[in-house]
Amino acid sequence: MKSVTFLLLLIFSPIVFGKEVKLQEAVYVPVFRDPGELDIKVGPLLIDETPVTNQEFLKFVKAHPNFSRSKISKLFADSGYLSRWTSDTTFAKSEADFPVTHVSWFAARHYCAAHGKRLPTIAEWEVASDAQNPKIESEILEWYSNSSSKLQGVGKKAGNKFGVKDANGLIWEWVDNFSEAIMSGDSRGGSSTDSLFCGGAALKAKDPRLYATFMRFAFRSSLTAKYNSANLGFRCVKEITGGPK
Amino acid sequence: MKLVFFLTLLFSQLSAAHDGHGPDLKATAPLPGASIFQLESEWKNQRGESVKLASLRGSPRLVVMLFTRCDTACPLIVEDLKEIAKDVDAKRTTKIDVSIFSLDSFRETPASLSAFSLKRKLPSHWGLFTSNADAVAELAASLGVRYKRLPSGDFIHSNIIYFLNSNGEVVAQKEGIKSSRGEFIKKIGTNL
Repeated sequence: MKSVTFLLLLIFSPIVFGKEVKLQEAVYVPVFRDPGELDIKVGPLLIDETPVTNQEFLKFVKAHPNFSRSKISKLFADSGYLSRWTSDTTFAKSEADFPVTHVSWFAARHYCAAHGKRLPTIAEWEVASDAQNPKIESEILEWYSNSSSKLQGVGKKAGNKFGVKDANGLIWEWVDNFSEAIMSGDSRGGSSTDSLFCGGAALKAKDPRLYATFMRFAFRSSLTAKYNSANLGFRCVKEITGGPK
Repeated sequence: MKLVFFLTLLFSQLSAAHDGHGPDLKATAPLPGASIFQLESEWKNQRGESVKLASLRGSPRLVVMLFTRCDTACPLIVEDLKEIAKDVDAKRTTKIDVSIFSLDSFRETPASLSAFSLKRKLPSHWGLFTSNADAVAELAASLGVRYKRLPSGDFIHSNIIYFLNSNGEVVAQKEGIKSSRGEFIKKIGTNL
């Protein structure tokens, strides 16, 4: 099976040769529930072992110049897009295997689509990252609080129980449905704008100990699709049977 | 048949020469970087016709995203839209365009859009549109609409009315149902 996957990758993926790991079917239990919200089945699917790197993203930019720093449309990225790079197609040599950051949701989404993949959903990311595992909660919180932590190459540390690497401790990652984390201007019967962001969501948390999860929820609720930042990157997933949904 | 082809060709060349500075040229000028008309998705309107966003270019419009099965906020936002359109139209000779995009790629159809239009007594020149989940996600992301589909099939979503100029750039927006219309209408007035 693995060799077939690899062969398919060689044939159908002209750009990236990054490894993927298989995520078996699992159930995601949402921590912040809206009325009627149920557990979500995720997988089975293939998820990139590591976040997308500068080198990988460069190949995409070269094939799709509309996503280069100078050409990207204002609709798809705020200023600052790929600003860690030194030009449209260059970055510090030592950073080739660093995760690409300063990318917008649109760019990340198009990158994945160009590889026959898609961005993971919140549920898929939360499961694959194992980030809600109470055993690593304190480790994650320590990283979240250390805003000056430096970037480094991907895949330097051992993977989690699924073999997924760098899900925690290196960068934050885009998810396809980030906009489901809703904090303002929503249709929940005239609730005042910021109520969900703090009070509402915190009160609805099933397990208040999962503070790191709450922080990710809050972060996603603050994102817009054009946004980019120094520590926000992404990885892609792929359906095992059939194409991307 | 050949003759028809030749005449068509001749006519199109003549009219192209004629329209040197006409609206045709304007429609093919590059879109501004912030224009939502850059999105290439295809939508179906309440009459079942296929519509590309770029075909909406040329006149300013009000835009909202909602789902027609909604029985809480949507009727209110539609009433809000009607009032705003009425106020804007009071000072003009042409009626402002309004485009309603459905968030519900799962259940919305031209028929359900048409039924909603009748039920809410929407003016016939208002356009209602539905498309697939990807098209909805990208348009919502471009505008800044947040939404979430619940297991019931209903949606939680932003209540925002956008005003777009004729090139599809967001010029003003009104957030929330209870916010006042005055400021929004004033901004529309200065950008028409």
